[in-house]
Amino acid sequence: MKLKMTALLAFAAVAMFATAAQAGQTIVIISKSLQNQFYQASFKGAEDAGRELGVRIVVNGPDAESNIPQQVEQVQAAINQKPDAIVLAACDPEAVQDALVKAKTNGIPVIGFDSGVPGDTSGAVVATAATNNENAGAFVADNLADYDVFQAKIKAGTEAAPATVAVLAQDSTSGSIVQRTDGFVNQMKKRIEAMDPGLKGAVSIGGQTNWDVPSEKPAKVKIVVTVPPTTTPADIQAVGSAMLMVPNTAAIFAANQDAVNGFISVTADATELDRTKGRYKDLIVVGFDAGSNQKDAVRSGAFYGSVTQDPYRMGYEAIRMAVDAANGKKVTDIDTGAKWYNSKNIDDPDIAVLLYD
Amino acid sequence: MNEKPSHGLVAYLKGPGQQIAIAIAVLVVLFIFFSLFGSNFYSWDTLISIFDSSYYTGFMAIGMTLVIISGGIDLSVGTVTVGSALIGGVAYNVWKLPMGQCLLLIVLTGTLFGLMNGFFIGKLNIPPFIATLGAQFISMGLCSVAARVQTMRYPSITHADGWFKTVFFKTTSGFPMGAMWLVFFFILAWVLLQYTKLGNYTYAIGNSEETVRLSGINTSNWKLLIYTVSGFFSGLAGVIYAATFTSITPQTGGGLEMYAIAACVIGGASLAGGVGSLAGTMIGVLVINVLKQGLMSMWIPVQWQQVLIGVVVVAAVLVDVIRSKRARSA
Repeated sequence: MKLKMTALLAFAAVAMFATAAQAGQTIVIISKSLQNQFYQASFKGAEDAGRELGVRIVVNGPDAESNIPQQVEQVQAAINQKPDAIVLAACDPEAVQDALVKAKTNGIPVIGFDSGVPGDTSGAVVATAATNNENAGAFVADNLADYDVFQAKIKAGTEAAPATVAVLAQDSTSGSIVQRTDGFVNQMKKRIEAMDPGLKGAVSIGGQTNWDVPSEKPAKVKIVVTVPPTTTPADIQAVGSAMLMVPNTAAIFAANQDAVNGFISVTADATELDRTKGRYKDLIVVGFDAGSNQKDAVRSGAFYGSVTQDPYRMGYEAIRMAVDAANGKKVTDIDTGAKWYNSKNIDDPDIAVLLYD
Repeated sequence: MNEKPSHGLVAYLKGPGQQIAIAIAVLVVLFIFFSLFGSNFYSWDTLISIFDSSYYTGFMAIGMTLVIISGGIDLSVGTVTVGSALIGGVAYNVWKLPMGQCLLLIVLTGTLFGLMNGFFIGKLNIPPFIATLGAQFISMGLCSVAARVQTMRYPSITHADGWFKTVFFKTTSGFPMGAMWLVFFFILAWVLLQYTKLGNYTYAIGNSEETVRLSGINTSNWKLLIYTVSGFFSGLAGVIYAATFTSITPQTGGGLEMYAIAACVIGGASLAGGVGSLAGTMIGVLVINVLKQGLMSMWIPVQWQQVLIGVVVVAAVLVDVIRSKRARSA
């Protein structure tokens, strides 16, 4: 019995020694789910940053975004192991609050990435690496406004038959989609007014109470935002088909993956957008994010192009910020930017890694 | 096959206590292993996390132990636990009831589902596997409907209504209050099982329901009570589950019952009925959660935990099979 006790104590002593002997910084990155390709791209960015900065990166996440309890336990376990920092995209920001309070008291800085931890009250989250959706929306508008075919259609707009730029926004409450739409419509108005002196003051924004800016002069171009009553595929498709009926529509921007998928459905899996023989072969469509349907539509040219967020850079920057925070430096939020992709560059390695199915 | 130690520790360990002894040995070995190879496993924080994840499994497993000893099974405890927590969330967020009433409602919901199981099994003579399988779907669906399939959130520990977390889960300084409650209800259930009619009949029905019935006892009433008690413990698990996870998602909870069943089996309960102990079950709960936290401390994916629990469950039963074989041939 005595021998057993001695052995046990010896084991315990070795264990404590082993824990203490670990050298170098460790940063844990926990995503909303492990299987999502978006996060796999983030992990790749994180691991590349870890290699460059000489820190150990540990990757974790629940098996699905809905498995909130699993993520709560993973965050808790990560805090127990006292890493130098934690990088986190919370499945449910409120569910991880109690754990983050503990991270705060233990002095472990937390860096948000992707959607991060919105509304954090624990004070543990020091900064977030995420897409600035307003900038990303403006970036879509810029790419569209640079297209000569689009410019020609806009300039053809008259007071009697105004040209229309339509936005299909999935809902008007989700922060990211509202910001993205804001960025798009404001930048689009600015760019169109700069295209031709006759268009100055002749661009109206409307369609929704959130987006309602009448033009000073009679409108030659209308920017119309459409929001389905609910986010169900059926409602999105219903407003999608209605948008196709609007005459003189120059371009349509589908502002997130669900809006894109709804729009693809109402155009017979985008075959009606075929550039040579499609029913809507002159309609210019741009999308956002990725997904296999959208990638097919962009690759075939049915979509003029889409903007993707940059999960690789989210992971990369988040780790860089985490190392800074762990070393006591001040860190601030970073816009990880967005990338334009079309049929020409969709299969480039640096773009392909950002496009999940 | 009631397993109170009757003639000395050695005899107990060779006989019915053997499986508990093995479970304890497994627990100690796992603990030492992870202390050696896990990062910061041998720490107060990790110990608390082991407790944290043991509470809701523990409460479910207490009820499950009674049911399994009686020769039955309760497949609904996982969805009833989460479903009750969801109903409590509806009461808090939608009906704006005070937190105390919400918590009572959680326990009541669990108990009512238990009563429903008891009615199906005791009064309508539906086999427990089928009745509780049905109850699994009913509880998952009904509670989701009541929540309009919305995730229900409980207040954070820093919020005024978050007091229940410090009372039932852990204090802001990290004192494991949940452990106190688990021990309290463990003792309560132990007294129930060892010193009351309900306990005696639970073992007796599990050994031979026919014999009990022929001796003039109304087994259907006792079975109704056993499943109601199981539902009550699922309700308690629901309270702790809400305190642990804050956000309760509809349509989840299916599968948690398997951890409760595994804990009972690791602790020496026999699915044939008549055999099992609450002490063994608690050790089973700890084995499962030491595995869980230990593997997380080694950054091994959670799926390996499932593999290892499976191995431990089969190994635990295998030991029992070998022991019975030896006993017969002796």
